[in-house]
Amino acid sequence: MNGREKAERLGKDRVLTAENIIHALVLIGFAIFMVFVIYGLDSVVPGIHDAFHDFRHSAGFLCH
Amino acid sequence: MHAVDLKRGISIGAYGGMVWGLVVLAVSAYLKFFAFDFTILHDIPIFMAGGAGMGLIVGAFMEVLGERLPFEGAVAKGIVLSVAIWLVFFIPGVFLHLIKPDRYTVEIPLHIQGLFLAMVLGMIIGGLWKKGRD
Repeated sequence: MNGREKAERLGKDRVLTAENIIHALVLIGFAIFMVFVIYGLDSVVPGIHDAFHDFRHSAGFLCH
Repeated sequence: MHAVDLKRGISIGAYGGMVWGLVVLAVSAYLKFFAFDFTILHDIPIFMAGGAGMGLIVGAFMEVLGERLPFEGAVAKGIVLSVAIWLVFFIPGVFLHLIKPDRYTVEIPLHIQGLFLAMVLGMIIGGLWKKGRD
């Protein structure tokens, strides 16, 4: 495999595109959002935990 | 190795999760293991948002790990990932229950309902995934 072929192959298999980084950040944001929904942290974002009370029970997570 | 397209995983997961949120609301209202604190009108957008959050995470993991999982079919992979992610959120709650049993209470019927619904989320996302491929 020459240099050009190698570069083309790397380009084909490359997964770290700018678009994927943005979407990965969206994913991390939603994962943090779900932690707020399930475990509270009302001092950081007040109200979210209470608003999702029925959802938390229904989805089977521990509540109070 | 396939190119990862997180947008596709996130989109399918979010749409599937919103549908799942409504399924969760309907199942929970039917089974009545607990009394709702809020009205249905308040809960519809809340359940859709919560469902989208869960679905989005499952969809993203489907995109990234789907081809590496030792299971055949998108539905089986969806169920495994969905249950795994449900457990990731559930297990810390069990530890919190051990630390503060008065604050975090164990309610077995609700947890079984949640586990079952996590499987349903996997089925919905797996089904949408399969449909997207066809």
